[in-house]
Amino acid sequence: MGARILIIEDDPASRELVKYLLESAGHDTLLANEGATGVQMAIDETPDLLICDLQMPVMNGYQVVQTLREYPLWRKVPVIAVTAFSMPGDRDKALAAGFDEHISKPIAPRHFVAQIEAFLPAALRSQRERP
Amino acid sequence: MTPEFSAALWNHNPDALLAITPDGTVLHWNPAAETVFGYDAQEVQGRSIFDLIVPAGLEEEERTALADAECDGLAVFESVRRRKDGTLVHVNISTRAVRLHGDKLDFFLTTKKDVTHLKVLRDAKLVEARFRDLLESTPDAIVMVNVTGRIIMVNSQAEALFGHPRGELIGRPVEYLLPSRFHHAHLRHRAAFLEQPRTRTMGAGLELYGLRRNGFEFPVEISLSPLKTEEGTMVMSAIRDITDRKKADKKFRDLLESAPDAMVIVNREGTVVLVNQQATRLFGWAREEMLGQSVDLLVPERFRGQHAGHRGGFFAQPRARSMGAGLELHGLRKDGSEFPVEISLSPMDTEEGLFVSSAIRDVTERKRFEQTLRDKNLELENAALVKDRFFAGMSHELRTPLNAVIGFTGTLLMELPGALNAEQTRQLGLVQSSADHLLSLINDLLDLAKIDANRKELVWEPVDCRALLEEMVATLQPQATRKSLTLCLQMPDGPQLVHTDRRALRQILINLTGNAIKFTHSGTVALQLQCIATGARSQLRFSVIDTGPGIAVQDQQRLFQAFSRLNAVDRGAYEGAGLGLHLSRKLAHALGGSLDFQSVAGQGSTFSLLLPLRHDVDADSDATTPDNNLPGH
Repeated sequence: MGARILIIEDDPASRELVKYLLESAGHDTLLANEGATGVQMAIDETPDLLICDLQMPVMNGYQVVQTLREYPLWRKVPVIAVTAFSMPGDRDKALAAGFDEHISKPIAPRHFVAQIEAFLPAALRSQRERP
Repeated sequence: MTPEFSAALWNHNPDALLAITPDGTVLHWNPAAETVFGYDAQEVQGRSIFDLIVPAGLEEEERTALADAECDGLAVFESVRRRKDGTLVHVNISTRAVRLHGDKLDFFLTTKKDVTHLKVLRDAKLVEARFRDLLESTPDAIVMVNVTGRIIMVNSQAEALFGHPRGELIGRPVEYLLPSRFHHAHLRHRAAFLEQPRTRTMGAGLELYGLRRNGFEFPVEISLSPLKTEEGTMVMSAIRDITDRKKADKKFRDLLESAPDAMVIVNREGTVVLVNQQATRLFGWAREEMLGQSVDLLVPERFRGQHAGHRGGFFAQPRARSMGAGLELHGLRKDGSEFPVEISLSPMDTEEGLFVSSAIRDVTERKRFEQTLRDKNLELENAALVKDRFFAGMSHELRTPLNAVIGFTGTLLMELPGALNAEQTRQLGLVQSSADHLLSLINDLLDLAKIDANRKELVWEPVDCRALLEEMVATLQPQATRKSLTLCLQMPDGPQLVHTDRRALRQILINLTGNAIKFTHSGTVALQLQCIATGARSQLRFSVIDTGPGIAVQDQQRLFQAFSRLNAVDRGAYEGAGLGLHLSRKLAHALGGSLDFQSVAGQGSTFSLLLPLRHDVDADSDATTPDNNLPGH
């Protein structure tokens, strides 16, 4: 049995890639292409984990995580930044803003699912062995 | 008696002979009167003796004498009368009332015998007897004159000062001791003093000079005191030679003039007492226009209120300091314009009390320069920020599409969408390695850009080389194993600390070792660490030694250039055509070290990184990015 994972990502190809990798591992995904819709979905759908890009128009990833952390339900839900900000200091900045992890793009396809599942309870991790 | 004889009696009478009306108007004035009083007969015709020769305060005496003469027929007495030049003469006066027809008074006939010199001798005798001993004991030169301005006594100090023996001086007008250019003014001052005699300094604010017997002048300071005696008022002058003080004054003035700054010296009341040439140039006022004025003249109106208070504060606690530390001070020119100034204050203790000496510097130029510098710095800072944002933006924009390229190549190779045949797998492998290479190029380019812009952030900390090298060997071991190479680490026992930036050091060593593994077909890649002491500074040498094909001599020159492609050795499509060595060497320089190699084609290569054991904090800016500090860089 998989997890329900919300992906907030404005780049369609990146969104598709993350969705494909997670669904291949047996997880359900919810998709949002910008921050405000993402926050609304996060509150309405209460997914098990949130993957969020940082640089997005209107509402960026930092604002998304800060908004969600205000809700008691979202205090403990894992929120992971997947971002092309990979300069020194970007990781610390993301963790300080409230993210649980910072994964820089380009992601490593073979390890990505395991990186994400590390934040899920064992019961929600995929059973399939990666080749 | 012939009229001729009568005329001779009139003209040759040795004493002044005047005929005056009962109310004092002059009728006749003989030649001796011309001599004694300095007026000729024509100019006195019809004028009153009260206007001509009776000094102020003696009108009553003259009137009484005339009344006595009218009543008794004759009045005789001794007094002083005034000459045309204002000086006084001692005279014996005899006045007779002349009645030509019966009782009616027609006129007075009065003789005035000049007894000035006789009076001098009498006065001299008097003061000699009474004051000689006292005056000999004072340190100052003393010259005493009587009411007619004749010298009646000098002490030995005065004899020595002027070079005249006293015999030459007694009876002389006191002007004898002054340079001739002062005579005229002195006669006037002397008369004025006698009208209101009181103790005071002579010629306050004026430069006074004495005249020595040898004709030389010398600066003096003179105090005057009236001395009342039964023989009339005497004047005692104490004379001090101030040549030495003048010299000191001149030295001080020269010093003031030679100061590079405008100097304005002000007293407790805020009055300007001294300024130098520079101050007149700076403020546009002439010296005379500033002296005696309030210093407010030089202060813009809006600061004047506070200024008086601050001045009071300075005099309460006088010490050298700069004015208004941290404040913007302004001076005011004569033409009303203002300019920024910097002012240093020092207290100046003088005989005349405490002054404040202010050195004033126009800092217009400096302010302008500072502003330019600030603008320039801001501009550079902005440019650097723009560059930073550009790097960050570029990094982000290039990574985003690469994410999909590398990611979907990965999903295909993982066969998530379905099985691949051998050729598909091979070709996708080429896409993957090219994409990985592109990613490393992007990373290297960003690093290079940062180093070149002097924006590479280095964190200096103690780094344990053993831990770092062991971790690297573990990371690279799989690559070596795949090519059946031996990867080994050789270093002295125990931890080896170096003060450097961990990321940069790791980046260099990963690059060198990665290259060695990539280009070596068989044999060994050895990582070596040695501590070498050269002179005062200890260094660490990291060597990466391979048994690869080596680097041809013609390629060795270009090895560290960006994007150098080596011809001699076949390296496959993109391998080696990178920025790794170029970046590694720049990083080595940034760490205060160096990167070099030795290679013999066919026998292998050794790349050596030399790092100082300790990062010298003082030389931080130099050591961090030596490349950027080269001229013209």
